[in-house]
Amino acid sequence: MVLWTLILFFSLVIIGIPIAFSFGIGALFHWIVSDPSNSIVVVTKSFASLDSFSLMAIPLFILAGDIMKEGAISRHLINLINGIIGKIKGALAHVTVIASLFFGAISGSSAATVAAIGGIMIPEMIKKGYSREHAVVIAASSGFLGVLIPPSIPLIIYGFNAEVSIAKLFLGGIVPGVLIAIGFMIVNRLMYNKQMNNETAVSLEEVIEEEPNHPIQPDPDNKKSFKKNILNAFPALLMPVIVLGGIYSGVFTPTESGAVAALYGILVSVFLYKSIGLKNLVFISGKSTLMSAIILFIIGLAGVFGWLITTEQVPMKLADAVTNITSNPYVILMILNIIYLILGTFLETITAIVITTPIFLPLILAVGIDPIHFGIIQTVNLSVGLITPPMALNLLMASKIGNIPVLQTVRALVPYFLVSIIVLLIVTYIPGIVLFLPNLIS
Amino acid sequence: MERINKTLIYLAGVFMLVLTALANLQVLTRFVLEVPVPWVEEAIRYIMIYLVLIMSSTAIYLNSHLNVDILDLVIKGKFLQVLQKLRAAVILAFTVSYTYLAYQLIMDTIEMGQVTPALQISMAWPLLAVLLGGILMAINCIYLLFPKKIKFKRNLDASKEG
Repeated sequence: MVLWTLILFFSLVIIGIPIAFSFGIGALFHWIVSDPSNSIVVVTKSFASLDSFSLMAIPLFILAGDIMKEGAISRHLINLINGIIGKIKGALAHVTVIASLFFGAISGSSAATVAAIGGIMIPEMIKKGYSREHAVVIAASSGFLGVLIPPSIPLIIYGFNAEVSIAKLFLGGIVPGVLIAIGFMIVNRLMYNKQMNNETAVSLEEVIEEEPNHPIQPDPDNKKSFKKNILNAFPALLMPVIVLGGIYSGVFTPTESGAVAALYGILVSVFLYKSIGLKNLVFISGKSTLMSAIILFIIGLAGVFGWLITTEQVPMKLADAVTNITSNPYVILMILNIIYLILGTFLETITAIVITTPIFLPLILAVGIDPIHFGIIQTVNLSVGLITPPMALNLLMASKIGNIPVLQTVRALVPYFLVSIIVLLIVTYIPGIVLFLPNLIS
Repeated sequence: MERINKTLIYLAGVFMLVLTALANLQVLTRFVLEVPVPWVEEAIRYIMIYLVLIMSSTAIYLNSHLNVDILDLVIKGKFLQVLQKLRAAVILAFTVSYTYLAYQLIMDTIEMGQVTPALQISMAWPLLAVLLGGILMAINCIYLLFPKKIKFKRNLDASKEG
């Protein structure tokens, strides 16, 4: 029976029925066929899955990220970083990486990071002679940092599904995030000569429409502008201190820190920077709620489906089947890495987490892998998926900003992809790298 | 429909801001005034559930629910239109059953007189979100199945590009 349910579910997914509805229809079908009197579970379970305060962190962090994206916060961050390192060779590419790193500490989503940092840096890089495809690739890859550096929406969703501490998961993402940033900057340095090969410079003007009145400050010598930059960027730099400081000092829960972050973002961009008007604020908040609703609706109906496959013992059977073949955690992690890399190319991150976590978790626990470690491995894998076509959200977004077809970026992408894979392997096989920070809190 | 959904987005925006304010209020009351207010957390959860279900209906209209769209890259023209109709029909079938089940559940809850732990209101009120969202989702699906709408949307797209 459960086999037919799974077949139906995957067929619906493949013909393009939204994931949330595929979960719902699969579950409904299961109960109508096997036990119609029990089909009301579809409503009760989906309601119960949403009725959780820790899940409310997701809409709040999405709202905070959207406000930061629309406000001038990213611009001030970029100005400050450019003011500090603007003079070294290939500075703009490094600025993109570092600004994404800091923006990642403000926002929990990689899409928001690509939009906020890439939206400014891609036109700027092209203007300064970077080739379009490299500019696009640098910004798209740097978007990883948005989900690895806490706060992180995928990690909240994983933590919710795997029932592990979100605060610990957040800490686990820091070192891999920093490693990837360093790796990307090394690639930037090595690729510098190739990147500065702008063959399409003719059509530049059309790309640089983006806020021509506020050029980024390329003047690292001017002490006065440096002071001004620090003052302007100060609210942005204070934000991670408030959010993470609040969580780890125990003042507020991750959900409340999302609320504080959103409120802080509103205060800064509406009243201090004055970059968002009140009517616009309501509209941004509405669009943000729409995005959150889409994600939470999936989580709600996935809750029904997850409950179904758990009561049918599917994950247990899978765990048994796999551990009969091998119980070597290294081999299992390698297999999972390959599965996730493939899934990441065509599944959207949140969908992949919601579908796979309940299935693989019993297996992970059976062979003694720390669920926090696994959460980070999963997130790094799926981040790589964000830059591997066809379902490469970061790349799609950055290509739109840089105005080139996605496929044209593939060659420039290769070194960044390789760096991500190297970091993935390090993260997978040296658990200490992920776990030493979370283990500091108990 | 365009106007209704747009209004809903603005309304959701307002409620999301209210929710943010409530969550901040919770931090404030607990740490500064040291008087925890238990109903705030519950109110936040229920408001969000309403927002999720209502905005999910708008997402149907905007075709922005997350799906795997590999087929859209392969199939072109008329077949794609048929596929899109099929999808809307499948979603409609589910939403109608989902809404019906929600209705049953609400009736049962009223009969049993179950109340929420902190706010002490009938549990039927938060569950009403599912019913309301379900009805709106069904309406949006029917709208997608209705060909006049598709023409209307195409005109919109064309005018944007032109």
